[in-house]
Amino acid sequence: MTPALAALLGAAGAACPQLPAAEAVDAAEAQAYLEVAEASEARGDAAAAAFAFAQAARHGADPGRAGAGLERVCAPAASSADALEQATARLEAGDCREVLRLLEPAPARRLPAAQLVFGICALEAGRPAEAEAALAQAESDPSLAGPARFYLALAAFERGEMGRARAQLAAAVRQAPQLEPAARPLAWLARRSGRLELSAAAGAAFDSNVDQAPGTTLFPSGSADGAADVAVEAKLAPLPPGGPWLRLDGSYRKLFRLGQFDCGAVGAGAGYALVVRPVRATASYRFAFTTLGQELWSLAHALAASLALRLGPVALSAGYQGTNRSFLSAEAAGFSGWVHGAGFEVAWSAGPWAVRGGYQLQRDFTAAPALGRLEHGPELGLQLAVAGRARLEAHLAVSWRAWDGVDPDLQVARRDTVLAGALGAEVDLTSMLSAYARVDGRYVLSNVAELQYGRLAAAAGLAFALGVW
Amino acid sequence: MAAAGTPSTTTRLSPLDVLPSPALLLWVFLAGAPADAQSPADSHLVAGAAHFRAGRFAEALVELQVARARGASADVEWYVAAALARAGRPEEALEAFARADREAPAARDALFDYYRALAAHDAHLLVLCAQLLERVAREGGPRLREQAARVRADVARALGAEPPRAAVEVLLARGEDAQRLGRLELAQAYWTEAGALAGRRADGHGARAALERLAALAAPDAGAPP
Repeated sequence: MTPALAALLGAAGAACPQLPAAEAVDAAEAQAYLEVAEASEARGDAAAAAFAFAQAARHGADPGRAGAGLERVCAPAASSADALEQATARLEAGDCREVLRLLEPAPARRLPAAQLVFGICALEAGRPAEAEAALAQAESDPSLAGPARFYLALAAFERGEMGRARAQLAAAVRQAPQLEPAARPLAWLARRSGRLELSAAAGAAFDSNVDQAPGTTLFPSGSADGAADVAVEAKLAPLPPGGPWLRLDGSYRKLFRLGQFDCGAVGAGAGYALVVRPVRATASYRFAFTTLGQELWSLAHALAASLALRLGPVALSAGYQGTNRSFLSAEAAGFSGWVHGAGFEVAWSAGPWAVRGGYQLQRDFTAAPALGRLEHGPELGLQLAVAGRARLEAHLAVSWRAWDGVDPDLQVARRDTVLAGALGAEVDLTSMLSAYARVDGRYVLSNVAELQYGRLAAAAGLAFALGVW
Repeated sequence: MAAAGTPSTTTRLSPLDVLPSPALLLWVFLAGAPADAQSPADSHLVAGAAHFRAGRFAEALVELQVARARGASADVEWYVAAALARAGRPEEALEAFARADREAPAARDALFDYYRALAAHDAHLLVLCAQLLERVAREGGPRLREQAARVRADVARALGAEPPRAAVEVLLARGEDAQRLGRLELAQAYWTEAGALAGRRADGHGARAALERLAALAAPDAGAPP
């Protein structure tokens, strides 16, 4: 919950009169007040209903009916104020399950602020219809209209209605300008997202060791080169937040000097995502071909599945991917075969910070048995969001690689250790345009000293993304 | 400067600030009359006026609705709408004004138009607000015209620039929300405003969507969500 929202919630409250004794008995008057009271109650206008019930009692209305009405309108308001106080504390602690338990009974949600808190957590729990109904109730209170619209925007976002999400965010900021810092990055994200997303990136890159020349230096002589990169992608996911999806992507790197290492890739994939909050499961297939130099280099068919579970600030995920690769050149044909990769990750986020750690395992079953290998190791990542429009990322990984057989040329069983690290930054320039910069380092230690190598790569450029539907 | 569709401030009036208003002035004046001289409905009108004058708008609404139930004429709908506008419930006020227009068109006067304009302003229906204020300028007394001129200047500033796309989209979305809740008059008001704002944009963004929604609203199954 943002501080701005907390302040807005703190401003909510209600007052109620005492049940008066009958002063001037008049059945017609009492009946008219009762009817107005009940209509006001049905409309959610507790203040008017309480006054009208009290007036009905003053005019001698049936104490059962008027008293019960006042009790419905006022006593629950008092208890719902207590429930709201508890629920707000639980919301601030990130415990939405307890918030829903506290506010699940309708009388506990008499106050619009309680509807807002309930709506926020119902949204979090994947109950969008209940969330929207509650948020619409909260919206009727002018002091809560801003945050209610903010969360209605999130509900629209979930459904993939990005135009509506942007409109609600704009309305939220108008109602509560203090929400602007939280709303702007979401509005920009909504501009980039949708059922049909198009994206493109272009930039420049540098690689200190394009051909992976062995040695102990990151900058082996004659192996460095600069490059120009382009990438495009289109993704269609018509039934968000889950459902089927199709994706087409392509990329190309043109090296300035070592043209034999120019590389490109074109892929097409389809998948299905099943979202049952807090679980998300996906299954997908992708076909891709790559080029190296001027030639077709490889074909790949990949099957993948993943399972993710989010519990408040903690996210757990695990995945598998099996890829059948066919290298088309004679010298690389031995590397063809199946690659099975699996891993798990635990991520924890707190405010702008997110840290994640995991373990990855990969097994290659290659056409040439000696080229098969098992590689595994941990990885650690740290992310920081800055002012809602920039993201910084650091990544470290180490893995151990054991080759299946004895290298036919070197007559040794190879064992490698791979050290990798990366630093990246991305800054949103406009709602659709970002700038990115990234530095990757990699150093491979081997029990065959001649096969050690190091590599430093850097890339920077602009990325464009647009949700068109 | 406020963008088009973004109201900044609203000039608030007390009924006593706008003396030349026959209907409402009479009603507010009733607050000082002895209750026992009135019919049952009148006594509630008097009580409603007293609450209204004291700024107790929830209580004023109750008394006005009881007055209606006790036989007051449909003119009371205008007072109900004014009380809703003052109670900060602009959408309900606009619905009540529409009801009053239907049930008691002859009771409309410039002060009610002024309150209706304020409700439109608070609901971000600035084009509607400007239209109502134009009528107030034509039909209101000198003091009311002066008050209305301040709001008109505010609205004119907001409508001076080309409305942003978001302003049109907000109105379209609010109309859809209103339609989902079965508040069709409100939906119509939002979409009419969206169409009017879209017409002020060079690219007409949202005009077609607004027209389509208004046309659908006129269809027999208009209550169904889109």
